[in-house]
Amino acid sequence: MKAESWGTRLGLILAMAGNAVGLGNFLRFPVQAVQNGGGAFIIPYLVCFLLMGIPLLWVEWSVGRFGGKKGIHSTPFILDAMDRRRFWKYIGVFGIFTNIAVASYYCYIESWTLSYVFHSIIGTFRGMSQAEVAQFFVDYTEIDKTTLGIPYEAVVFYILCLALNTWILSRGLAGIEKVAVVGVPLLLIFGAFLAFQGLTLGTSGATPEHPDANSWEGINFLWTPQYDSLLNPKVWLAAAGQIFFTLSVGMGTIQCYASYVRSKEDIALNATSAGFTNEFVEVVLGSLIVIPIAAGYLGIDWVRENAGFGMAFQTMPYLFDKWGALLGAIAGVFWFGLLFFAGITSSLAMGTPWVGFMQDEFRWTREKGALSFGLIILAFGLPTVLFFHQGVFDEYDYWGGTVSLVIFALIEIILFAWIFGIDKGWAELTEGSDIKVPVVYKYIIKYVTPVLLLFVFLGSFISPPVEKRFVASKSDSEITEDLIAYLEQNGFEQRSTDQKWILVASAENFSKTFKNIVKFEKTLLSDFAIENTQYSIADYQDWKGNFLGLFKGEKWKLDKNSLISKITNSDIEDKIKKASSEKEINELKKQKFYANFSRFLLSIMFLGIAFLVHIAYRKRKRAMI
Amino acid sequence: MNTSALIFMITTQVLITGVTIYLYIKVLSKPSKK
Repeated sequence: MKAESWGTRLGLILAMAGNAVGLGNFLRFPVQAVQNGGGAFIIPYLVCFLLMGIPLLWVEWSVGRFGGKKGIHSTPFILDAMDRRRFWKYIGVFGIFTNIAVASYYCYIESWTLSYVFHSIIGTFRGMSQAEVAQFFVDYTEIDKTTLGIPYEAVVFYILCLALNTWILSRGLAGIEKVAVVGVPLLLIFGAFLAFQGLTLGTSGATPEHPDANSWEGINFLWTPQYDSLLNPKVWLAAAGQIFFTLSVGMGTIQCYASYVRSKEDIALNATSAGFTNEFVEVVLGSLIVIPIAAGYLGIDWVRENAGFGMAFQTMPYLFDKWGALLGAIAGVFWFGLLFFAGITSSLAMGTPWVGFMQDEFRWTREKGALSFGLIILAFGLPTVLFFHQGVFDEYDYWGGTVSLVIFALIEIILFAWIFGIDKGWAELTEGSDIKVPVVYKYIIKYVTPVLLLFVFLGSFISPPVEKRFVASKSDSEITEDLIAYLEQNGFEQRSTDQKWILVASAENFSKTFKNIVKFEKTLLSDFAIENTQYSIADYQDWKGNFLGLFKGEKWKLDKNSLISKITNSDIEDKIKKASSEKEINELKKQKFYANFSRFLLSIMFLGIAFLVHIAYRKRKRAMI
Repeated sequence: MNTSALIFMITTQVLITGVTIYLYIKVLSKPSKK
């Protein structure tokens, strides 16, 4: 079989950039920034990009091209080639498993964007209220409802989307490259148009319902630096996590794409270009669309209370409709179009490790590999479609799209820098390089990046509960004892120092009384005449207190979203214990069932791929004899 | 919009845009090695 390779350098970079750019660039980044210190979030974000993001990109591109030189195009046998110990090929299973696990639900989201492009063209959202637009999405995902008269519309679009991915994958790298060369520039143009709208909207969107609506307030909030957040470990963890997910490292897709790079071709410049393309989309375009446009019509307080992934489908169509029939339709097509291109360039990347593996190890044709990928995604993905509201989607996202990536990236960088060896790794990275890679990165890759990754891993594995932390200066006479007493009566505990008032409340207690930070600020302003500039209130995880507690014989307190809590289903179990009605208990038990059912499916997926790797290994051994 | 937010935003975005453009110019000026 003739070895495939990328047609052009630009095609390769755009394909890699497309792999990285996804819905998260437009929806996850701005929300993370808003929740973690606004403009000051950019500082840890950029630091993590330079110390973790770029190094990981270089490592994965190097690992990929190294494997490609040996005719290997997926991580099981690439890792196997890096060290003689036999278990590495099973670690490499992550590089296929993660892609199938993520593609299973990612293709579903992609199908929503395709459907919403269509709905934008035919004017479905014309005249709808915000609640109606939100309900439309709920109805759409209730699959037995139809909005176009097509029965099981959501399933139809899902299968259509899968068929499209399968067909493009069957065309090989040439097909993927064509999609990237058309899709990524279009995505940039659409994004630039919407970013321009976000920048220029100003106060023109204000209404009697939302008189303070102002897009500049949204941009302000996102970009105003709150420097004290730099001392909050949760902010650094959020920044490191965002860099990690935005670059699509730890998945196995970069290694696969890079394995088709010719042996003398540059890696360092190509990888850096792809990485910066992702950052351009995220920081320049992504920050100027959702938050400013939503703030421009609904006000910054609404955005702070509601900003999240759901806004893409449940809010943006309502906002675009304000621009009139034509401009609203164009905006909708552009918005969902760019999300579709961002999505499909990523899902195609997720298909290539499986196709590459089956071609290499079992001599399957591209067409057979692509078709089998489509069918596997359909089989594992249908539960995420059919049981969307029962949490299957969320379970796949947690295990495949969060835990798996971090574990694989951490192991991979240790393999690259410490077992394969940094000298060999550095030689691989710099061979054919078109830029001079700073030598300091040899030490960053070996010592700094693994520590940062470990930080991300431990941060998710054993993170303490998220609390709300109130801090104010004792020299501010307007922060009275009455206010402190009020806070203590409403779930806060004092941890004050000589100079500062510091009070902490559990997330649960806080939301019981105040619901969210916006309402907290409003309460302090109305009841105590205290402005939000006189104090800070932020999410906080007490790592230090938790650690010191161990020496006092206390148990390590775990956040309900920590890995250990998730494994033991402790959040659901706690809710079952506290549940008051039979109906509530049954609902929670159903939730637990679906969580365990999802994990069962993912385990089958992982073990199935590991089994195929084992068969491939036995075939290789026989061929050698 | 407040001044510090404006400065922060413009500086960061100009930096990222500038570096991205520079990298693409470098890429396009160097042919692929066969």
